[in-house]
Amino acid sequence: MSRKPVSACRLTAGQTHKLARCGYETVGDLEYVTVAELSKELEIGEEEAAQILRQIKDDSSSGVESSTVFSGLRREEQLHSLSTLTRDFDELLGGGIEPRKLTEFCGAPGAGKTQLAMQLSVNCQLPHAFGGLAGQVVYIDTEGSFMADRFKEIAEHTRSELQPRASRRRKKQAALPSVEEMLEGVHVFRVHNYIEQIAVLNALPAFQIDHPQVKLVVIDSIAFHFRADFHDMGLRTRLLNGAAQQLLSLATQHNIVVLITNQMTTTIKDGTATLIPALGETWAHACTTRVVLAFDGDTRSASLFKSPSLPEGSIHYSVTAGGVRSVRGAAGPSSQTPSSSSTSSTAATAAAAATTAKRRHEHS
Amino acid sequence: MALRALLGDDVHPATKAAFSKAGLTDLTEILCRSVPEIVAQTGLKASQVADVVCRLSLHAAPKPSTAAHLLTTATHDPISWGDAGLDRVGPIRTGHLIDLCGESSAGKTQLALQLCLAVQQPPECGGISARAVFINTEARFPMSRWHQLAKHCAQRYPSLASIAVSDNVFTNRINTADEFWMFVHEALPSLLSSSGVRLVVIDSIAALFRADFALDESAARAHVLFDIGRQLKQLAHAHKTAIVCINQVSAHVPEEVLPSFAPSRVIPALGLAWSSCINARYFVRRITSREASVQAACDVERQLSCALAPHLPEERASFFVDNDGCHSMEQAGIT
Repeated sequence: MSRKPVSACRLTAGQTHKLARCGYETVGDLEYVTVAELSKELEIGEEEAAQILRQIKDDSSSGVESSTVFSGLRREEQLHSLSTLTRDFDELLGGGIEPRKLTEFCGAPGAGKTQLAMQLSVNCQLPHAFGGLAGQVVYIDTEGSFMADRFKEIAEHTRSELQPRASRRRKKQAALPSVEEMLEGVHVFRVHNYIEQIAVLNALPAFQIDHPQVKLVVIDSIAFHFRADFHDMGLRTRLLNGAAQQLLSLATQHNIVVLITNQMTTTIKDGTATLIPALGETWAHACTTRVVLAFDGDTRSASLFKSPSLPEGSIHYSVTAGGVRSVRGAAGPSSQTPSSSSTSSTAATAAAAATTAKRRHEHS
Repeated sequence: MALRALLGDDVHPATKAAFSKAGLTDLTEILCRSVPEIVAQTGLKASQVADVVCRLSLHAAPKPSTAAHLLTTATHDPISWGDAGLDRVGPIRTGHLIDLCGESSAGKTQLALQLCLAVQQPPECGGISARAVFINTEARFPMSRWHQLAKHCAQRYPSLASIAVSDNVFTNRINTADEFWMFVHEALPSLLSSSGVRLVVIDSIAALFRADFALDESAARAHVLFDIGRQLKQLAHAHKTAIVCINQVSAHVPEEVLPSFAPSRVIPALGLAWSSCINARYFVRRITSREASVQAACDVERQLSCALAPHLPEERASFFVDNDGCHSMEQAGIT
């Protein structure tokens, strides 16, 4: 909703005055007002009322719509995806997690949702050269699973794995943030009930103004409070849709990556029990991309279930002391190029990774 | 708190009046409605409504803290299992809801009793110098076993020599799920805020919910479990307390729902609903008696493993139980 003052629109002084007298001060005030209501309230003809509303609509939207090709191009350039630093994962997601969209990771307890969320909170703070977004993180913790010391551990490991590449570059923009900086760069909201959860989402735009460096919003998990003692399913659907709308508008306005984790629930279909993501059908439409994490024998697997642009597929990954890692041999993130530049030459990087691994082996 | 007081003097009295006139006097009522809805109900302007909603949200939202700040607060203090070898699996943490599950006579209660001792140790010895509550739902509190442990504990934990360990453990008995619901919503909050308790053991959560609900009431059970899980988590966080719920196991179900680390053919009881509520899960398993090579004192080998936790990779440690508690094989020098 626009807080642009009515006086900034191209209206006559008389019209502005009449509007002000009736309490219409911002463009947003007129959002839900019909022509008939306005003409009655301002005591003017319907034609003039319609003209006022049209003028305000034009003026308020032109600020958003008009952009030159150059600025559009620059914006595109700035739209980096957030890399998972795990090649398989990035390939599955088409080069990382896209900004301006809602990405959901679902999984049974212990599948690695929180680990992935913490790893991505580290990655987000890395410079663009390493697949990060050089930005800070808002972490909405509904389950009490965010562990600062585990986050520190992941940050330390990730940093030391990337350090060799960072020192090779010597470029200023490739300098890795220190672990202390990364710890300072995560803002954790510990949420205890669904009212607090709604309140945090309402308050996020204001927080974003104070902290424009925020480039990733994590909600771990969206489901928890909406499953506990929630009997009014209609209200639940409405609140969740509202939350999705708010997150989406925040994401598109500020080019933010939004990461949502979700729990799983059991459903009985044709007499057999199967696991499906919680929160039902309506919520399933709210997310742009949905990835299901699961246990597949001894390893963990991630499957892409819903995406507007990518084929369905699945990959394996593991959670180590250092965080979320690839299971493909010794090729850690240090021997990978960030996904944004490597998706076209997968075979080449794979071969390079193999030789690095071999060389390492010979050294030791 | 009254809405008027929440909004303060910056909001025009007429706006506040319009809200009360429309019956919107409660924070929950307002935050559950969309702005256009409230506009329709109150007849106020959208910007006025948005302003009120924004103010209320800022008031109701928890304050953020950075990860760096969280590191300095004692939100997630570790509590030792009372044995260095067992701690390799990962100590439990305050602020967490922990599930300790295993078959009957696997050693769950023994580990929990040992936690009640270990939590009383000072931080330099792995404890947090706090008291414990032990809730029984199945049998009576194992008094004679506790006395045995308390008698030996000064030798094993020198830091407890000057502490009257039995005075620091409260016990309570709860018979039904309803009683338990009342307990976690009423008695437990006041107990935690006044008595220096930072460890709560519930032995066992499964007994309450497996008995009180019929098979076809699983949806109702899931609701109650979610509510209790949420309440326990909130208490754990607010009072920096570790809440350990002892859980039973069920026979195998075909789906590979849980980590492969779960011992084969049994899965934790209470299903996915409860698993979604907990922060960490430890498995205790009884491994069949070893051959003659093992000393008489440790004829039964048991194993503690971490099945899920946000803070540690999966690990396992073998242990045995004797007169003075649970000992890891590693610490006892048995391989």
